Amino acid sequence: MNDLIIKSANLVNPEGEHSGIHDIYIKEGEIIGIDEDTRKLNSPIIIDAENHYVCPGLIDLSVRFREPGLEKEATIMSESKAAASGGVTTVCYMPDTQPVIDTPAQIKLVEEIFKNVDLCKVNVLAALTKNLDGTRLSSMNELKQAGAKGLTNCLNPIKNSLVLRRAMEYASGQNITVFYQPQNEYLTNEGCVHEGKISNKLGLPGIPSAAESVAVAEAILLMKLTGVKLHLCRISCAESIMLIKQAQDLDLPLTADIAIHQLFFDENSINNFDSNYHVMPPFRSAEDLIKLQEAIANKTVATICSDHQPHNEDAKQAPFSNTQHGISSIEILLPLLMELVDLGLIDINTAISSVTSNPAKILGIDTGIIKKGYPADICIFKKQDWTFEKSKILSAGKNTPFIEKKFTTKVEKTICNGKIIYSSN
Amino acid sequence: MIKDPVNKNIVSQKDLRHFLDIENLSQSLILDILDLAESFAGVSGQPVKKVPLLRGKTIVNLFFEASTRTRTTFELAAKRLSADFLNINIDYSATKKGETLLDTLRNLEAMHCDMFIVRHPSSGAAEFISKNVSQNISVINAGDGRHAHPTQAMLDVFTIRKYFSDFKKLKIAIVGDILHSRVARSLMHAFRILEVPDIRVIGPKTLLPNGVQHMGVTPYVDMDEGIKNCDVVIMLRLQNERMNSSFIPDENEYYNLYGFTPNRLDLISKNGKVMHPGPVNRGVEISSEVADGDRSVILQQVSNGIAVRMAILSLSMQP
Repeated sequence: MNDLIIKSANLVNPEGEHSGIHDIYIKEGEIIGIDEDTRKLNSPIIIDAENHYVCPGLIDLSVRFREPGLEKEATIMSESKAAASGGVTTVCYMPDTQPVIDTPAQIKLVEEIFKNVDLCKVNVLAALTKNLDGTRLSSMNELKQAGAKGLTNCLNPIKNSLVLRRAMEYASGQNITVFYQPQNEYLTNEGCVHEGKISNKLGLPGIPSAAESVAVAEAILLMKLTGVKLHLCRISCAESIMLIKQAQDLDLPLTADIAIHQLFFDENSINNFDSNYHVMPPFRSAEDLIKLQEAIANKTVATICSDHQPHNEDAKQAPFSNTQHGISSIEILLPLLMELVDLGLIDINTAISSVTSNPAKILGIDTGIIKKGYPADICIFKKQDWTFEKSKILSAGKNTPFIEKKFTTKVEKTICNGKIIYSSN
Repeated sequence: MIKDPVNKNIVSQKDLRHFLDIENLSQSLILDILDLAESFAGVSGQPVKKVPLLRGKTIVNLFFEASTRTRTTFELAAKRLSADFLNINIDYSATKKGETLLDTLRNLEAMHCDMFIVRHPSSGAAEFISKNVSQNISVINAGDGRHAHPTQAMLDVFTIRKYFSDFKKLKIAIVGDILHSRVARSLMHAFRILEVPDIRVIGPKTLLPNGVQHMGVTPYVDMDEGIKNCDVVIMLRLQNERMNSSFIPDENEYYNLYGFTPNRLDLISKNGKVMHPGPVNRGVEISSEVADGDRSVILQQVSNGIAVRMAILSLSMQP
């Protein structure tokens, strides 16, 4: 591995001591100094970053790379390339693979594949209940020892409030974070879109906002009861934001995230049954969309993820309610974030911290910051107009409503542990 | 052939490409269809009940869901237009063997059919099929999930026009399971386009879509209040499965609250008519006295269905 100097970088480094124009010195995968070569670099590669922004490598709190079990949809290799091209250096791996990640061996397997692919880094979230069945607690201590950074049941329902209480209680005893996706299965029923204008018009079964906010309220109250470290995943509606804010005002250390696509679309996007807009939770009302954007701006919700879900073409080729939900989006995570900045909805530090230092704190990992002694996980990007073309998508999943979208920000280089894992040319 | 980008149904004002929903039709096109249906209405009364308009064309009934009335009237309509006609009951054939919807379509296309009449349990299925068939095939929506049943709405409007000449003066109520009803959705659009000034939907709150007033209708929970002075009351069928899933307490309470009983006839306008898209649950949403009485036009709806569907098939068929 070559040593690197990134020259004249315009640092966007929300939690770091340095911002503005600096040189970054990297040796053996580590940042050894800002503006000073503390350990004598060995014939370094010099990257001229003049007129470029440089931020910590992105940390994506929710990805599905489909391996093991669904390699016909995507692989860790295909999706790691997509991630690298989007400036992502660390991904949080969801346990709803086949088989489910609920044993140390499954964690090791995923980590091993990432190691062989040798692009971005992985943090595994293991199953909160065995086989995600919502009933039997997983072996949380074993999973933590094996490297799980948290536990989640993904979108699989927890059988009842008592199981959720026990799971949180036990996790709290093991000091492991629960990543909970709030969705009451009974109120969700057979729904596939937001219950509102569009469900009425198109006759698609609706999911009321209360399906989420009821579960948020329950989780917050059980957090208070059990003292668990709780992170709420994929928030989609204004009512949830209100409840999260209340909990934070009571000094509960509650964190939450929003999927990037939820900051761009509302229910009206589904008007012509386009299955690329089939996501879970569903796109809510126009009013909800504004509240989500505000929650990011005022930091009630401090983390954004791609919620990357690649599918093969068949999965989206059916009448709307029969299609798989999810969007393939990891390679445009940074350009989308920067569009929110361009639109004046959030400032650049808020945008970058939502995918770097904030998720790092939630995961308890030493990255997400450009600082001496930290791993050299870095994203270099610049202002440049380009169009997101289907034929150039690196992910195996072309299921995205953003095709043909014009962007103004482009990732130039991605560096993970001091290795250049993506270069635009 | 130029497809109007705004309107997926229409090629030009006179011709249809597909017939997928009512929502995007213009008032004049709806009236044209009704006029054409009027001219076809005589055909059924002739000794030879056929016109040669669609001779040499092949029409396929593609039903993924059970149906008697709609399937049969489409078949009669197609045969009276002299088309070759094929009924495919998908439930018992391909999809049971794991073939995808798209593969089924490709196979039927390969048999050189000209038109698919589609019924499917998923909302949006007809539109999905229309986007995935080749240019020369027309798709007629015969009911998709809870979304739309546009030919039923057209025949209801046709039936109403037989008794009331001016839509702009009417009070119309739709009663029952609005939430799950594709007929109700299509009717609400049709009445809005025809500028019916007072459209009401009536039912228990569990069967009225949340925020239905956005569709330009007034919701009522009280039936007596809702049907008061209405010129037309359209009763919807209460599906049995709703009764077992806590939408309503039981059949008796429903009948008391929303059943069209003879005493309720006094509440509607003097010339008011009672309609029902069928099949009728006697003693659940309507009493036999009303269903068979002189204010009911339920059987006329069925006969009108043939003429209206003939009009839609002939307008939609590609040359």
